[in-house]
Amino acid sequence: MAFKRIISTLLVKDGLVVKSYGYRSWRPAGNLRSALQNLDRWQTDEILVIDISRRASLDPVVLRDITSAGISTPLVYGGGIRTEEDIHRLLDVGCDRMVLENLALYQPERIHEFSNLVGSQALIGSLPVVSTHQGHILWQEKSAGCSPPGIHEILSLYETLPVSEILLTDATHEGFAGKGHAGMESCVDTFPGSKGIIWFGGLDESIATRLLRHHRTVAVAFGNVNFERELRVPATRKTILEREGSSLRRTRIR
Amino acid sequence: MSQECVNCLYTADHPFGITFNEDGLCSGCVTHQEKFDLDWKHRFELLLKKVEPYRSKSGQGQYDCVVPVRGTPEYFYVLDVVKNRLGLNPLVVMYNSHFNSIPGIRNLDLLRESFDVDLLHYTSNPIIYKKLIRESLVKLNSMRWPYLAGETQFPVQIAVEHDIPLIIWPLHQPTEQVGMHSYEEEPEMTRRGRHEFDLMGHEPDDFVNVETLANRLDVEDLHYPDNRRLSKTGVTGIYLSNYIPWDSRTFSEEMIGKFGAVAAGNPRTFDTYDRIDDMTYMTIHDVLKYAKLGYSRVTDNLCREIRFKRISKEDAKAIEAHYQSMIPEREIAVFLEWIGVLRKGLDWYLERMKYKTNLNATPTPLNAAQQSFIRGFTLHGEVFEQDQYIIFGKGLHL
Repeated sequence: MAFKRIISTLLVKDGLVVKSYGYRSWRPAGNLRSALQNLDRWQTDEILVIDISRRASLDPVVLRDITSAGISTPLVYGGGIRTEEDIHRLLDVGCDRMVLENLALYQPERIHEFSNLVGSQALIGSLPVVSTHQGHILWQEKSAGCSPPGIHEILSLYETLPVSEILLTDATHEGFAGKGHAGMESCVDTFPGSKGIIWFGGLDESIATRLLRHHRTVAVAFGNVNFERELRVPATRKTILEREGSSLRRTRIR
Repeated sequence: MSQECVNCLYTADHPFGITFNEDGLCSGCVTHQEKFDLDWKHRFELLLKKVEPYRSKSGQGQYDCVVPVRGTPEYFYVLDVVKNRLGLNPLVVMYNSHFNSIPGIRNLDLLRESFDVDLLHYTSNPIIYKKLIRESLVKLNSMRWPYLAGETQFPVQIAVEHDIPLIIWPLHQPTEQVGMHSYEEEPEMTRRGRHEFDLMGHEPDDFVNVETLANRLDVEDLHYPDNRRLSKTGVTGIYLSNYIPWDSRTFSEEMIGKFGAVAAGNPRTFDTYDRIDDMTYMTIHDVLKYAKLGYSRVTDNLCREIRFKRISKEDAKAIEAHYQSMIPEREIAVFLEWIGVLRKGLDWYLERMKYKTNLNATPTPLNAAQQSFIRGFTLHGEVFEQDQYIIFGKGLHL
């Protein structure tokens, strides 16, 4: 049986790790290198770095920090990936997988090209969602002038694309632990898809435990809370294992 | 030109990192607003609940927590909360900076007597300390690393060794200065925080090299306990500032009135309560801090005063410039003699730094309102004139 995973997420803005609150406000959280090394020591299953700076190209400072951190934990990167050259640069600095959003939504043919390059197992589709009175819809930083697609439309798109998993982010509650993903599992349940879901945004241990019981869950991702306590990931793993059973890998503090 | 906060004096260059909102307000000012907005009575009740599991069940003189202190009035407030409001029995610990001032020692003595607590000092080997300061100057352009490494390690080591899992710190500097966390998130002490914000990204082993003649044994007492030991003991370091709207100035003034804590003149800031226990902090360290980062401790003090609406930004700028032009020659000379550096060596050292210091500057004049603001820090009791180091045991003079 494949273990489900605890992912630790680091959001980077202008080269600085930030604590994000609904992608609307940010607090500084230090440099990427030390954050990566810390999570590596905590034996998180995977680290997800997302650059939210909306730059025209990959940030060389971020790539340098990833390289110099020298970590062994599997690393996923998202943010501003546009070209095959970007994919090569990320592989060169040690990234194992990539998260794609805009490219997947607006130029899906590029995802096939990337898949030919690195394989679909290395690609994750991003689906940031906000809850509205019309239901769960795609979160967009700026309005595109028409109504954003609903969660089912994007899930449907990702079923046709060569991505291995879907990062489903509760963008409204991202950064607010204990508030995220209300009602989203049932929304996912009404769509007959097969791809594994990574849940991110507003998780605490109780919500994560609940989500890990969902049949499509492959991972739960934590962000801000990792900056607030010592040994947070081992403590979270222990709590979830006590509540939820054996779907997570067991680790020893070192 | 770096972006500067529309409210306070901090810029985008702050070494802890800082963010700005759409209105140009820095993350430190945004977080500070919580001091006015949160229900602090409720937050103190949360603190009472938080410490309850750590209270010794048997009583009988067992320690409930470790409390690190310095010889400044603010730490009277910490112990007043811990002993008199939380009813805990603390083991008080203090890491010797080697550069103690007379008011600092006097405060420590008074602290012990006033609260009837056990006070554990740790003094590291002064010869090794000197080696590490020299290396810190070369590597980091700072003389503070050895002290910061010891000060942040010793309480944790004591907590682990004595199986006292609760450590109570007054405040979390990155939250107070740049708003790293909301108080409601109740951040706790972490290894990463120490590594990045206290130790400037350098661990003790980085200081082991042939040039400084420092070996691994020399830095042994600066190593943070490993994760297994931390986990086994369950050590948790909490900050009172998450539960009490922290105001170093007001709290210090209260403690001067209540316990007779001592204030002292500081050569590079108006704040007569801040870091008065260490003769290097507001002298050589502060000059180097400005040369390295472009701001100094007076900036930190003024940002606090602006955020509490006790001074305008315009007046703060004038006071900042005034104190940044102060060069405490006599105290610097004592330090240079001890470390074995000539004055022209310091001049060369400062010349190669990012921000230039005019060592011959005349302090800029202040208007009546600004002088009155400064006098406000001298009205609450005796203010010592800082005029000598405690030099025992350092081989400075006998």
